[in-house]
Amino acid sequence: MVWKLATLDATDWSSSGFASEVLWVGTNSDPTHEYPNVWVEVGVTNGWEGQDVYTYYAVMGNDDYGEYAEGRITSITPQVGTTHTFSGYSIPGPSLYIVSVDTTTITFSPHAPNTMWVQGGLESTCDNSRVDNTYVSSVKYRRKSDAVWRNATQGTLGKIPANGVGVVAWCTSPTKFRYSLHSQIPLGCS
Amino acid sequence: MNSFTAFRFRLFIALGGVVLLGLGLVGLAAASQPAALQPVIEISPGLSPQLSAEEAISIATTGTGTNGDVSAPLTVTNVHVIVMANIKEVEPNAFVDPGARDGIVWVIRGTGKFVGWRVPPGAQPITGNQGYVVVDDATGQVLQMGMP
Repeated sequence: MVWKLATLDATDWSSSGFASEVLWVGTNSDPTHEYPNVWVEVGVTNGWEGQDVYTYYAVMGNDDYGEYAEGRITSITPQVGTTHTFSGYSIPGPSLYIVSVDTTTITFSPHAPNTMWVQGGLESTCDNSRVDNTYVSSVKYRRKSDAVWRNATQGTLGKIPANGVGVVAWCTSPTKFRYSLHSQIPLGCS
Repeated sequence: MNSFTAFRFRLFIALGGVVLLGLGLVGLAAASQPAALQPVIEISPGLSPQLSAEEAISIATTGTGTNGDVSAPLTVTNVHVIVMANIKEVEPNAFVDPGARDGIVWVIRGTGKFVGWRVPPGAQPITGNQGYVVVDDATGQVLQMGMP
């Protein structure tokens, strides 16, 4: 997925809130419960562990096993207005998944193929944070049967079903991210 | 006293002895234990971190303690000071930041309430009662968090 980095301003950064542009990739570590609790993700965020920073980051999680890891990618520095390619894919090996920003790669394990789903969108922990429109210029996936790269021609724009506190949206190409809001951090946003 | 009653009496005496012995051991343990257990701190050979252990632990416990990711007091159990390139040796779920492989990091593990807020749309936050926090020695910033 290729997008132009937008201005993000998490008003609740001091309480570990964030406003992010995200690519989520569902992996297949647990086929019986793969959605949406088993995944890897990569993106750019304002707000990180109580710090007012604008940074790339990566996450992996498997809720069935209580596994979660999030980390900054400090070797590259995001600049608003620049365009970058975000990817998530499996590679041969002992259940390895890679997420990347351009040529910078992060390896997560264990996460088994196949890729089950892909979503892109904005994520914020506070409804008065700023999340500018984010224009996506390319959304592609590689089809397993013939390894041909395909343009994603359909997607969903839907409400988050569990609690209805927000929506996540994407993706016909080209399009723009819309708004996603998870449950607010209990300490509250400013 | 019939044989059954005698058996019960001997059993009572025996159990009472065990209880008294146990209480005695607890008392000895309480007398010899420090007020709070100190975490085990391991510094990889050749590394000279800038932060003190107290500073790094303070960042991990207070830097994230009010922020939601570690929302209950973190009781630190062990600490590793390593280079980023070796982080998977102590925390397999953590990842190596490719441009910072040589950087010194503090990997601080403990118990508390850990919450992973960055989840896919529709998913609930992931919680756990143990986890780790990675602090960058050069900047004092929290780089990573994970569980279990």
